Amino acid sequence: MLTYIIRRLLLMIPTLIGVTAVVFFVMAFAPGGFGGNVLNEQGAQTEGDEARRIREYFERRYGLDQPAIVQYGRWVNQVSPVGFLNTSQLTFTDEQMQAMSDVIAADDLLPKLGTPRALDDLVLNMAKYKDIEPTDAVSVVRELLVDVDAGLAWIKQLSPNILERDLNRVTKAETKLNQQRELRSLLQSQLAGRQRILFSRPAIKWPDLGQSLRGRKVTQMLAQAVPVTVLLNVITIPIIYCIAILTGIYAARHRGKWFDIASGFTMIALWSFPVILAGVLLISYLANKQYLWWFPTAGLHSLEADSMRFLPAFTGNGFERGYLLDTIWHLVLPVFCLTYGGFAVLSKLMRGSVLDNIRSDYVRTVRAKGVSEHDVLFRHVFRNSLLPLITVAASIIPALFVGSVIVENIFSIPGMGKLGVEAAFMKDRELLMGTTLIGGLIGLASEIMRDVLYAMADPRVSYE
Amino acid sequence: MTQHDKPQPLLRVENLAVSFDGPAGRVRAVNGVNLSIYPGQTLGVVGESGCGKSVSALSTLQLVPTPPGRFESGSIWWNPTPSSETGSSSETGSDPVSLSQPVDLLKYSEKQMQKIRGNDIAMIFQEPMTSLNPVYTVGEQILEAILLHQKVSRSEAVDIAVQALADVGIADAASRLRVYPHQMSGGMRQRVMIAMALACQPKLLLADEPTTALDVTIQAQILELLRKLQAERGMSIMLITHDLGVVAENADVVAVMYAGRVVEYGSVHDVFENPLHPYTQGLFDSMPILGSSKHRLRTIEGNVPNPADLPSGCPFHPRCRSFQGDEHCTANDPPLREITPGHWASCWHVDGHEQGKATRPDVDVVTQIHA
Ligand SMILES: Nc1ncnc2c1ncn2[C@@H]1O[C@H](COP(=O)(O)OP(=O)(O)OP(=O)(O)O)[C@@H](O)[C@H]1O
Ligand SMILES: [Mg+2]
Repeated sequence: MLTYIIRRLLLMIPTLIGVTAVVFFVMAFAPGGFGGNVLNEQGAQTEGDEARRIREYFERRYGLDQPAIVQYGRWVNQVSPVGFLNTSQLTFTDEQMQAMSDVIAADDLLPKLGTPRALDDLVLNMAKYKDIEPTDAVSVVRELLVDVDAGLAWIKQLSPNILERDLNRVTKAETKLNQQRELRSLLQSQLAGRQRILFSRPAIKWPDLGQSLRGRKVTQMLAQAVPVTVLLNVITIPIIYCIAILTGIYAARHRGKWFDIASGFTMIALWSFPVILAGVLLISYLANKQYLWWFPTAGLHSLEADSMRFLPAFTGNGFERGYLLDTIWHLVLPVFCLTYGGFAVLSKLMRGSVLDNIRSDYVRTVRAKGVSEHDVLFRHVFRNSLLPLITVAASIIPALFVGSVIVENIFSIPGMGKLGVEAAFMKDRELLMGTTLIGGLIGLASEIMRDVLYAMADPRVSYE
Repeated sequence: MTQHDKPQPLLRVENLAVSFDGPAGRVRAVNGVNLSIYPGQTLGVVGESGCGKSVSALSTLQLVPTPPGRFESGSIWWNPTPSSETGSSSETGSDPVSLSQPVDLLKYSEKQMQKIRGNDIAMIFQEPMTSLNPVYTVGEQILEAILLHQKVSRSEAVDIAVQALADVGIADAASRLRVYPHQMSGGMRQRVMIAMALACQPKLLLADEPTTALDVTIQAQILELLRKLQAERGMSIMLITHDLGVVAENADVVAVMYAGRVVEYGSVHDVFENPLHPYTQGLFDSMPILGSSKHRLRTIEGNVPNPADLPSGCPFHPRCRSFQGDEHCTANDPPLREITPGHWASCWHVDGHEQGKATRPDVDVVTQIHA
């Protein structure tokens, strides 16, 4: 069993690579390309030069000037816990930085070319790019700045697409010192954010999901959003299963009676009712100031939730609902939207499964032993009837996460689904890849969980 | 106890009629079955597929699914009084009423039936592969029956279960308790079914084609086992089968069924020596006889009639070789009559049917030399 689980976990890797590759390449070849919207929006607000600079910055930061396959390779390397370090992941100790600053300060030329901070940044970027000691990077930078022609040649090599205009600025500067200053700022802008995989430095590292277009770390954004979605689903799944199992058994027990017929009808109606419509209708009837204003329209908490005590209480100003109740209050409508489709399907499945089992040979044997109907149902039929429900769990859970996308957007809940949709709209590559990866992980993990549960419930299944 | 001299049958089925509501209307699966079983006796029930053998047996335990099934008429008298021949009474714990008078099992409530099932009357089925619950171990399933009917602790129940498995010839019984049904062969599972059925020492075992699904050597072993256990415990067996050879070897009394009713009834000796009903004769003709090659096997022409649409008169007449177009056969259903003492048949063409007595079939013989 353990070896089986390990094998399955290892098999997740190629699957995840496949899933993320599809998303990556569809994005890369989509019209406008990656990040297109942001660049165009920001570009529209700024002058041509500035827009170009922004675009170049993004290109450097995400390596967009390289072929898509290389970009994807870099992304995989960055995400994989086993791989090569990339230049942005290099860090230096305080001593190393201090030593570097001392060398710069002692230099006869460098302090004349700019502020200490600007020079420190340039040298650090150089040290990272070349993967050398910061003190050694000082002399490399100095060489380039002293010999302006060599410096220009190096920049051309570094950024083949750089415009002549930018290079001309350096050569046209009047004094040698001004040339060197221009060269320094050009060098700095070309090195900033530039990433290179250091094949000389294989490492076991924390997966890095990169930086969103909005500037925040994707890991941080997901760390906030994923728990919200998981909470939503952790509440939803037991509700779905409880309702489905109870109604399914009851309908099967009283087959053909009014409850069976009524629930069958209701379930099909619910199942075919679109979640989007349900969400909008619920909001407009139950969360509308002009109608029944029973529930909040949006979000996961009230504005003042942070100042609330956790549990509900009666205080001097009357009833205070507290953080917990406030959250539950906000969750009622979204959870309803997520559940109703699921339990409709599962209830039908449970009913059919119970009926199949009640008619089966082994149940006849159990009855012939003199076991009461109650025990026949709950000791024998029940456990066997659960097997198909476990089987579909693996498809229910990813479906729920897809459902969360809709529900989170309707109810403005800051979860993974909402984040994913925003990322897709903005063509925010790192963010979208991050949500894809987490979504894929959850889907695959739920499949493994399904198989393990199944083996526990059905002794005929073994993975030896 | 009114008749101390004459032993009472353990089970007496009277005019049992069971129908099923189906898409094609109401189907009479069992249509006036009469039979009786005496203590220690084996009643063989033979007949083609669909003639109502299983439904008759299931009715005894009220296990016919209702709906769609329905008991139309009849009664099933259950009389667990030890016959005066076997004498000694070990019934101290039982209901005093059931000691003295037969009770009608069809009138029993579900609760009362649960006390009978598996305890007084046990049943084993045709399909050993599917008749055990796949998600519980063999041990749990046997223990369930024991703990249900006997006032014993769990560890005592385990001992009983081990003994029951050992009795049906399963080696290393204690460790077999922890095995799941899918880990056993068909023959092994049928042994487990028998162990489970016999763990509570029932007085009557309904064996519904217990060996049909098994290969021939295993068949012989299982039947041998049943014979042995019967001799040890003096229980009665209703042995349902297609196989006349099995009947000849195992049964004391034979009931031949056709289209939901008993058409011939008598001791194995009588029926095999002198089959009266044309259907029974047909069955014998279609059976290969070892060492005889003088004639080809004859099959019975035609098919089993659709129970939803039985022929008028005698239901067998369209396939009957004695039928010569006589109106009697097409118009009137022949009753089961005692042609010679202890031998019943229902056919207008049987000599002596006219004079036969319309008594209920009832043969109190235990002829087999057991074990
Ligand atoms: N649950 C049921 N629902 C509807 N009809 C049934 C049901 N059980 C039995 N029948 C019908 O009752 C008739 C007799 O069935 P039964 O199972 O007693 O036959 P059988 O003699 O045992 O046959 P076999 O030798 O194949 O086991 C058949 O026509 C069958 O279609
Ligand atoms: Mg049958």
